[in-house]
Amino acid sequence: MSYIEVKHSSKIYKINGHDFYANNDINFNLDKGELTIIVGESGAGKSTLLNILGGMDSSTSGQLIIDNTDISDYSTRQMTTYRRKSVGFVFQFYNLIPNLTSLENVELASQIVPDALDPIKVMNDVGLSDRVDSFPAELSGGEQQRVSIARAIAKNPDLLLCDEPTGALDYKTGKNILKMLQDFCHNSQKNVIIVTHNGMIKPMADHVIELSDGKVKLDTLNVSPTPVEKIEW
Amino acid sequence: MKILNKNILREFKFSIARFISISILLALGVFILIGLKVTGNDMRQTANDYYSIHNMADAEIRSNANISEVDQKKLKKLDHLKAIEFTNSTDGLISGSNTSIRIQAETTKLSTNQLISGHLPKNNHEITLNNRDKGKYEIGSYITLKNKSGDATSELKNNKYKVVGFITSSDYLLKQNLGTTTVGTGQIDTYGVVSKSAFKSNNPTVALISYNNLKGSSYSDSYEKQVEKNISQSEPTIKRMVQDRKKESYSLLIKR
Ligand SMILES: Nc1ncnc2c1ncn2[C@@H]1O[C@H](COP(=O)(O)OP(=O)(O)O)[C@@H](O)[C@H]1O
Ligand SMILES: [Mg+2]
Repeated sequence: MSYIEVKHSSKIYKINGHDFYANNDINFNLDKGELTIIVGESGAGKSTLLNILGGMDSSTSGQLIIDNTDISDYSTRQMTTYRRKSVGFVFQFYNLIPNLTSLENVELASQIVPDALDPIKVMNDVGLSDRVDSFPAELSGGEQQRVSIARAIAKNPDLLLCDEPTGALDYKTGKNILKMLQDFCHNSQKNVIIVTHNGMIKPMADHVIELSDGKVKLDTLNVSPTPVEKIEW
Repeated sequence: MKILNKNILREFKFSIARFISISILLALGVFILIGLKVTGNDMRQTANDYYSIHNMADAEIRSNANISEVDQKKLKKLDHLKAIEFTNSTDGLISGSNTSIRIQAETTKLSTNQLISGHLPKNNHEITLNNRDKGKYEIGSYITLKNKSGDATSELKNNKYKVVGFITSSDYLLKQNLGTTTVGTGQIDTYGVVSKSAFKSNNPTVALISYNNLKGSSYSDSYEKQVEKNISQSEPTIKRMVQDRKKESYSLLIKR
């Protein structure tokens, strides 16, 4: 039984009278504990799909079944609960709260869920134990992204969604971040979905879904994923 | 939600100048809005209360000559009258100063005066003055009146009066510009009230009128329109009275 099932999911935008399919009849299944990479060119519909998976958007038609529950017809309130309890989100541009220190940013997330992880410990895990009292403006891009990952992980979500998490980072820092996500996935047995336009990192995933023009072009399982350290791009 | 509150607090703390500016802006906005909406009403209400206390007349007829008893009877028959009161008034100067003063006979029904301190004149040697003159004249002191050429005023029996009190009047709301006169600088500086008997003539020069068909408070449209209508209705009658009076005066002259 798959943990996540996407069935005939389409997202249609009306652009001056025409129907525009950002997602067009998407189908795939993800097993529990998989590290999934959704790859595709810019405009392929990756963010649209990820936002639907994270409950931040809803599909125009089709079903999204998470842990045997169809969430595609959830009410707004149910969606909020789903987002709050089950989903952690890492954005390309971090979206940290500037008024709060890095630790407080993590605490903020941990305080809204029942079974959160210890913020200090999570900060330690992402290697930022000595920067807990720094404000986002005082951190480098890589450090900010690590805080934002810590914030997503601290909620102890069933599903960690990352939209181009290394998009704004240099090669080495980006690699670092990806390693962190791979480790988290394999150590916690939670589902991690990474959206990227960089096809070179596909080997690190258990499951790769290639999108093109809003459709699934390729859906491959990777029996022996490569550790991030061994990938060059 | 400790951290959330912390964030909200810091949002204020880190932008305290903006916070204060916006607060002031809002306060100012509210202040002006409320001010514009409420102040006008308040002022009208205050004025209306003031007029009610003083039984302010709705209209006034002033004559250079005396209003004869025949004419008084005619005026009493004007339409829509609730009350009419005849009274006297004259202008003079307070000797020893350049202050012009309008002396009025005390009224009992319309445009009455509110006593602020002292008492109203009990005989024709007493006067009550404008409350604003409290600092200039004391109760118990005397003032002497004269006309513009420095002689005794012809309309009054006496010219020396004891100040016995201070009053307010609905006829004079302003501090300055109380009206025009032919004495002094041409502006009335203050006013005073004497008893009816202080005037020589029993024939009044002023008729105060209140109407019985008015609705709404002063400054309201319905009130002002109705008063205007009443006045223009009375005008032909009054004009005729003036014509008759003129003819009468001429014929008296010719007879002599
Ligand atoms: N709110 C919207 N209204 C109209 N078109 C949209 C909207 N959001 C996204 N799109 C279009 O949908 C397509 C897919 O967008 P997106 O999922 O953001 O692409 P990407 O794969 O680069 O993340 C793009 O062509 C984009 O222009
Ligand atoms: Mg995108």
